[in-house]
Amino acid sequence: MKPFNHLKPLAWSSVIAVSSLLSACGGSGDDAAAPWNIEYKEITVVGNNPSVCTSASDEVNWDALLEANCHNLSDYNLFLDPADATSEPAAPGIPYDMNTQLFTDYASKYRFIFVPPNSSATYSEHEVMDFPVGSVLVKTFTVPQDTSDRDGAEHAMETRLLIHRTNGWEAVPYYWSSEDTAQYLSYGASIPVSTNHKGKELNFNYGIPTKNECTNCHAINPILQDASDNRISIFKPIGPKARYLNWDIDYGSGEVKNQLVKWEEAGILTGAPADKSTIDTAAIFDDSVSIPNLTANELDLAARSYLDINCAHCHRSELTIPEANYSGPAGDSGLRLEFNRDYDTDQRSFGVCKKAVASGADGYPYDVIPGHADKSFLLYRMDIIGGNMMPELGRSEIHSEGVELIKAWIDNMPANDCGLNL
Amino acid sequence: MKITTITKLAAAVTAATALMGCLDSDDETSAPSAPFERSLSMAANSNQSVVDLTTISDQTCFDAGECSASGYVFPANATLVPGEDGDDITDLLLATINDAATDAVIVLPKGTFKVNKNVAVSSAQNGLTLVGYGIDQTKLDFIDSPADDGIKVSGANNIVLRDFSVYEAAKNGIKVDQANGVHFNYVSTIWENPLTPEAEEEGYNGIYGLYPVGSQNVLVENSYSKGSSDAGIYVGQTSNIVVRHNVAEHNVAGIEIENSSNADVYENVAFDNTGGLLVFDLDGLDKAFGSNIRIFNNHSYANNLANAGSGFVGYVPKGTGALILASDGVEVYNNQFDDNNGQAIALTSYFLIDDTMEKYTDATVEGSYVPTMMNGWTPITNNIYIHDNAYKNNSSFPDINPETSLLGDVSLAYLAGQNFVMQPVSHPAVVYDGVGELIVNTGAFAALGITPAAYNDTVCIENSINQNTTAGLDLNIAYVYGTDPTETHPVSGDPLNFAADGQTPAPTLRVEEIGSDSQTLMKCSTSPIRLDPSIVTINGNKYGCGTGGDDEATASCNL
Repeated sequence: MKPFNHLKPLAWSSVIAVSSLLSACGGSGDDAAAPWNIEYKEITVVGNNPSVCTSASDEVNWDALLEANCHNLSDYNLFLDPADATSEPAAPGIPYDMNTQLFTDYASKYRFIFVPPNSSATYSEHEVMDFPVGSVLVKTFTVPQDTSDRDGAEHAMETRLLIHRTNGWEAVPYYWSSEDTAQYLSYGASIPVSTNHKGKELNFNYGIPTKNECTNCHAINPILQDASDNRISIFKPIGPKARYLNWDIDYGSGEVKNQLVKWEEAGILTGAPADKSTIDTAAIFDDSVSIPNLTANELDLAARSYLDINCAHCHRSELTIPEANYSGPAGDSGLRLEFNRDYDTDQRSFGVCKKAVASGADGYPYDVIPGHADKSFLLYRMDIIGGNMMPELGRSEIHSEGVELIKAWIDNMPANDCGLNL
Repeated sequence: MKITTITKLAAAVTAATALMGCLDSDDETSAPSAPFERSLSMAANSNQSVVDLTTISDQTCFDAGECSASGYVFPANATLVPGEDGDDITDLLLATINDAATDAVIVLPKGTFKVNKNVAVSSAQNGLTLVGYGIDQTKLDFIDSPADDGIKVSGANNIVLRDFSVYEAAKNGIKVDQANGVHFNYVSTIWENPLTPEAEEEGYNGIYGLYPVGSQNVLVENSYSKGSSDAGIYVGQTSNIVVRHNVAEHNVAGIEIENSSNADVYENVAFDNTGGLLVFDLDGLDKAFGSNIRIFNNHSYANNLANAGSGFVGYVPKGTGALILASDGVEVYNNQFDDNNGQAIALTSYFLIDDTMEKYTDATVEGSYVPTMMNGWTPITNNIYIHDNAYKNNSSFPDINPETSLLGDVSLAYLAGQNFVMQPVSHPAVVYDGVGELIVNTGAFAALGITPAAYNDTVCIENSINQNTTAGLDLNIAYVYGTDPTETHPVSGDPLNFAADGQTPAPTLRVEEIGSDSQTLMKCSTSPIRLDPSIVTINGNKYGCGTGGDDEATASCNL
């Protein structure tokens, strides 16, 4: 089911920031755009670069990916142009895109999947595909000069690798500390940036998470069974699930294709249903979607997709996790927002008439009060910055379109004042 | 001891356009931060219990930089985070932690330091010890950190946090989630802004202070929390807990145990909170209910702070020494309750929070509690044994505002002389709502297996010690609702405990003077069985009153 049947533009084929910037600075271009600057933070990587990171070959350095956190992203040879991790992945990398995305301060995201030769991922209906050891998920974040022109000028901020090593998945973050170099940065940074969104200049600190903060979203934690239960968290990718991939994107050269089909053809995915229309699929939701024009079913699907990708990596319980007795880091809040949770029989998990367990705010008595978004604590926390905001990291701005979507979702529920006489 | 050796980070500010050949002359340099001081204040009250958390146990060792104020000796393989008093150590601290291996010992520097970002600890640092030079010697100031917790540990085991303070975190002070083995020792979380509803509107105070949740084997000792807009010292959805020798001052909830099992809370001091000591069972959580909680030998006094909290904690009436809500299996004994202006102890069911009866009996209504009741949670407070507590001058000025107090209506009614015997009385020092028991006795929950036998005669008070010195202040104990559905008015013969509709519970406000334990209102037919002591095991060491625990032979553990 695909309610919004349109194609996304081919973002990764865009002209890279460098050439666009040339025309934007110095006032020599025909449009007198304001200078668009970025602060580069100088960083030092501790210790010596492991020897495995130096390779004479220009092929993908699989050994280094498996063993070492190299000092420079370019050490892995993942991209044809080492100064550009937004396009042209080295073989066998394939770009992919998500129909609904986690909001990260209106950043553009460029995703690539690398599966080692002669191996493949196994399809999963609800969870992330079961990728073989050696697989790498690459995500480069850029701040566009104008969010309405994501093919236009942009600054690369960070490139995050999730590498499936022999001991499990690991986050290996890189920061673009200059125009052409991304360095390993485990301890995060806060970089002042600006972007124009729908005619409004947004100035904020772009937060690069620490290596450990990656686990805030990417881990499932043990529900400890007794005093001798010494299990620890398990790190997992979030995005590459069937519901986010089961739609057509433009691979260039006229190749427009369903991503799961593309992966099958490339030999990196097995076990997916032959008929892709049978796969429960998230909505295509981006900042251009007109929320008032959505039908009730489209609105519900878009909202459930948005809550899933923005919240449910933490707000999930053992019900939807294959490993026994694990939950998302916020599973113990009682608010669970997974795409594959049945709303009709489990409204309380979605916050309906449910008090927040930890914290609250005057005037917002329950997480979700059907028909009363303006009094719903869930929406309140999406609509603030700092302190008690949700998601708790990864944003310095409010996602106005996301807030509008969830507001519409709550306001369109059958009215129920939860006994508050509203 | 090795020292983290990353170069001091020069924040080179470069315009992207400069690289392209069009130099921006507007290079900014960050303004020097204003000098800042962080202080640790301790209990000071006419009734004070002195809990000294700041003594330097071995001056020579401390002066040599080889151990913390509390006497923890830094091991030879520890990693020292460098820093001079007043520095911003954000990058150095985060680099050290994020690249640390398992079982690392990381030593924070001595002094006051800015940390401008959440300090996250993951399973990659399983077994981490994060230690400073002392609770008032190493202060991490998160005032410029824009969001999130001060320190957050998630999914890692045997975590030791000791000898430092966290100030002004945007959200929670120190959160530890889903960990087996958590040891807080000489740690504080502090928000210095006075906790008022107005200040809280502005978000000046964070939420929880010390905040272990969803864990096993949690020991919180010798620690301090001030200024939290929720619970200063909180343990939730956890089993095997010892909370001892702590001070909770000027929070909404001083010390709170929520949906937790096997907890011993002893030798703590709680004062100037809205409520001093809290035991809650909330609905809808993975760990559906708590059990076996002992609150003993604590001093809870002058918890009279106006409630600046929201959410569940917003229900706590100001002036409460201890509040037990919807909990099963709690023993409260040998505590000292002084000058709590509302009530020393309140025992309440969940019906005071939500009295929509069909939510408890009909699984199909929105917001129904039936699914969580099928997991074992109940809205009722039962199996409560309160004994050998001393009460001095509590309940003089109860919070009678129903908007701000769970017990506002009740307190007003008592003061208005509308109690069962139609006489003005001293506001009760111990108040039990009784309504949960009444509803159970109607058979309303029989379909869920909640039958009267397990709930009658299980809220018991014995051996109360009256230390009142205020003239005319009696030490009273009270039921708000009678618990027998068949009881009738002695004169009219009408049902006594229900309104005219025969269904809506009607308060009757029974009150009795405890005196020297002459009360019969909550004296059980037989004394309940004492609860078992708890034991916490961390890194192979056993703590607490249980078998083999370090306090097993102490006086407190043998009360």
